[in-house]
Amino acid sequence: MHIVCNAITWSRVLRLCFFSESTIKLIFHFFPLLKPLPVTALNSHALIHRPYCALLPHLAVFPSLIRKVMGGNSPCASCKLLRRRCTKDCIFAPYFPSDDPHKFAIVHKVFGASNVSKMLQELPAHQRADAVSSLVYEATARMRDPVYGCVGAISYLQNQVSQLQMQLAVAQTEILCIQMQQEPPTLASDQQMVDADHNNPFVVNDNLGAVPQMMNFGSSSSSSGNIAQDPLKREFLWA
Amino acid sequence: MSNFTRCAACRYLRRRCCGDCTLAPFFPSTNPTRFAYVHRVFGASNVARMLQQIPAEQRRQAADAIALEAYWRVQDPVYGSVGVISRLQREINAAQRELAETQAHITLYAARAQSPTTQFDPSI
Repeated sequence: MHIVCNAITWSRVLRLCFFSESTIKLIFHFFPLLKPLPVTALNSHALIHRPYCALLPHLAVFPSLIRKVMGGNSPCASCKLLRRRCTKDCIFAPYFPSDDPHKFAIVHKVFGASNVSKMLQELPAHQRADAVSSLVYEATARMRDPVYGCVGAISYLQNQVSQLQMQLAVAQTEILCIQMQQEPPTLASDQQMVDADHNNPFVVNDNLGAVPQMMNFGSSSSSSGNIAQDPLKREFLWA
Repeated sequence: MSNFTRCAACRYLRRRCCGDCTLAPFFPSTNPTRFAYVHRVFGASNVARMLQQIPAEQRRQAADAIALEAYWRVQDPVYGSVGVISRLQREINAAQRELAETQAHITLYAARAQSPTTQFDPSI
């Protein structure tokens, strides 16, 4: 049975399909041509036998359109993984978008969603993005190296710092030796050397006081502390 | 009378510490803070699962590394161990700069040590 009637319009059809008035208004807003159009034989057959078929191309667009217009978004990666409804105030949503599910998957695997949520809630909003980035980095390092994680990289860097400090100490000792070999010139010639060096842009601190300052640099740079030498960390590690 | 005491993990979680507790070898009762930090950052079940996935001979190192990461995360809730890495990289850069300057000074001193003899050569 075909319905060919000018009185049947798309608004009646949509109401028959149980669309609400607000949704109908939205549909007509985006598809204004539908407003005056009656249902014709061309599309009524599909309507009778499968009422929703004629609307399928539009229906496929509607959910995303309606969500966008009503302000709703697709669930974030965390809510997708946890299979829960993504609310407007979801704490993960700004940092774990749905287009990168792997990011949250790693963090959830290493830290757990509830722990991450607690950590983020304890932080001010402007620091949460950095916290998430560092958590992702740590989780990735832990997945790559299940035994040492980030600590492996830290050990390597600390070794580098130690080696550089050793080389620096050797170089500074060498300078001291060279300076001692060049002594003892008279005080007048010392002053001439210092004055000449002030005009030399290559020399930063060429006076007898520079060497002790440079020697002190090594001790000031050891503030990071080797893991094995820091007493607090040693006690913490080995109970 | 048994002298068996619960490990720090079971004491914190208020559960009975059985003989095959996964966490007991790595979180003794003498250092409850260590497990408290680990539980706060990673969670007890995550840590137990991670340790079980690692060969037995490497679990102690893994537990120590996890404890360190948790400690750094508690000290710096924003950057955690990544903050330590950044700080070390800055120190390396500063040390490399200082080393380059010192080696340049050495070169300058060595050149100056040779130049007075050539400068005052009477045959020139």
